Amino acid sequence: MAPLHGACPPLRLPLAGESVAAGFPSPADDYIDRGIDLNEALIQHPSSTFFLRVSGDSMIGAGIHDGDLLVVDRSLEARPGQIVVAVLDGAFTLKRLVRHNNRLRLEAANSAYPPLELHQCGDVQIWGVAIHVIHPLGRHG
Amino acid sequence: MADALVLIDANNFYASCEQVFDPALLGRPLVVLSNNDGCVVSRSSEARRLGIGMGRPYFQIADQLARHGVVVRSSNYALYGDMSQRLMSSLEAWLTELEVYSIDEAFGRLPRPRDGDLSAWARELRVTIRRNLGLPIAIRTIRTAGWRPHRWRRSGEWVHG
Ligand SMILES: [Mg+2]
Repeated sequence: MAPLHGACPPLRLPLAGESVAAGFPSPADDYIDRGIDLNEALIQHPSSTFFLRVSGDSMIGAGIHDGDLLVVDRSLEARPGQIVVAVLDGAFTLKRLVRHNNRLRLEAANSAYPPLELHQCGDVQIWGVAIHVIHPLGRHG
Repeated sequence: MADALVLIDANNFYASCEQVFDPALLGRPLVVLSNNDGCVVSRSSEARRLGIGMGRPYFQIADQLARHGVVVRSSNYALYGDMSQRLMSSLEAWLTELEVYSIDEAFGRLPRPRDGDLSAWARELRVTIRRNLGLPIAIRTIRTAGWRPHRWRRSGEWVHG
């Protein structure tokens, strides 16, 4: 994973008035009047939120693909069930924090990767909590 | 009661920024070089402990660095500028007034706690900045107003929290 930098100025785009017919529940009414700024929609804490590029397929089952852009908030306290960026043996790893038999572990969303029991790992740190993933739908343009 | 004045300073700023985004560098001796890899402009604590001097021309100490296994990084000012902005805007919430002094230093004003002891406040601020940004910071109080910043920098009292 690599950090990406640069604060983006707000870019407010009007929201289409009609919902997309794909089981889309409602056309996000709260944005209709004022448009949507994706920075604002995706980022609650700008100074502690970082974009990381995903590498690898260990979280594919959670809809996180190789090359996706991950929005990570470091100010959030990691809770079981959340997907976290952890530092393990000097490297970043993206896993779900899970409570299992009263112990915490890091689980991949891919059966090819065994879970990591935190109490068996030497030095594990939670770097941040993943709050969104930005995944391109095929190639464009 | 009078406000408290503090100087907040990120430790080993450029080296610390590099460590945030490359955890393999944590706990390792690391130096960051100036433009065109001219000389040492930042050292991790481990590199300081090895006696690597600040400002030393790289070509003079390249052998010494290699011998000690020191990681050498070219400077990345876009990264440091981004982290500096994040640091300063985070500090704003903790201070009634903030005066940015350099890329990694800022003067701040806050109401002095009733007992005059800033250590709990300082500890919480340090923990928060460390968690939210991954950066270690130091906090010094300044007793007297009216000193010039470059003198404050040396004479402030450390707040240990
Ligand atoms: Mg400094």
